[in-house]
Amino acid sequence: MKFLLIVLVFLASFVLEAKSVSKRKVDDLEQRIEVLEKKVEALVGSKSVTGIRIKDSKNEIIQAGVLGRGTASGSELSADQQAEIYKKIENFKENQSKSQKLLDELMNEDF
Amino acid sequence: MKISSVIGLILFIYPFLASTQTFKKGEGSEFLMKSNGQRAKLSIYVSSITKKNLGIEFHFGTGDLFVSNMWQQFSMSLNEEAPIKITSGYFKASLSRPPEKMSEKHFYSNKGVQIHDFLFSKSSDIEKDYIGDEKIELISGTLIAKHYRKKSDGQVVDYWISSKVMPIGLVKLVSKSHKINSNNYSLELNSLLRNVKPAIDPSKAIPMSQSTSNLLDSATTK
Repeated sequence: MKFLLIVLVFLASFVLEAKSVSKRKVDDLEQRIEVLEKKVEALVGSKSVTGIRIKDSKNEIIQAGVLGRGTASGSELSADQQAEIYKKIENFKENQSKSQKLLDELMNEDF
Repeated sequence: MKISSVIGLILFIYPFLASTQTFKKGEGSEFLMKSNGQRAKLSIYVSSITKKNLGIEFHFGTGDLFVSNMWQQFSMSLNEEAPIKITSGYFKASLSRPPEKMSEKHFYSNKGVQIHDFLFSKSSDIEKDYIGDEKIELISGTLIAKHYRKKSDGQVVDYWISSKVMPIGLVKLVSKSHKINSNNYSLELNSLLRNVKPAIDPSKAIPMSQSTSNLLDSATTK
């Protein structure tokens, strides 16, 4: 009987701990989503007092089918923002290439 | 979808709005447009502003599968006592080609509600079409807007105006016609525009080609 009680208490604490971990994960995810939402909002544009989105064309001609400029293309990124993203992708590729090179060297040393 | 009739309808709002606010170059509105199952975006923005003239440019674009662009620009004389009058119009279908000067006959659609029903009337005349203040729910937000209704030749146009979405002011427009299918469409405000560069430079305009004229003829006649 005593053993059974210990097991029950243990199980209850385990469930509580699991719940606590899940809650922390949810909180963490919510925080990350909030940060991402702010980033997206900054990229897409601000909102007016009415809640209607404001698009800043940054002195560009409006045209459909041009990434970052179109009103019908679905993309709202400006040319500068696109350039920044491409730069980050290039940096990522470069770092990945360096990591791979380092890994290859280590593998060669081992064998 | 006859874009000229849509543009014509938009223009009528200006006598009402011009006297009530200050225009700023590059500011405007982007609308989601639906017509017979087709979707497009219509952007309207101020292309130029002087003491005597107001330039308004329209961009009509689709870009889901086949990208198409079209710009039209109208210059309107601003006179506090007289109604606004269109003094010139320009058409452009490609950025690589120069704009073409429109003839006066292409300013208007000749069926249903007409631009000149509004353009050549006093702003107080529009007030007779006022129905009431209504709450309009858009994808982009919710607004209280003034509801107007205009009827002509089987076409009924309901439109909602709010001073909070200036300089264009238009929140929503629904056009219905049992006579002309292309007069069945709706516009809904999607976003406000800032710092838009006009695609049309009137100083570079060339006379309109016959093919463009034929194209606009088909768009402005039934």
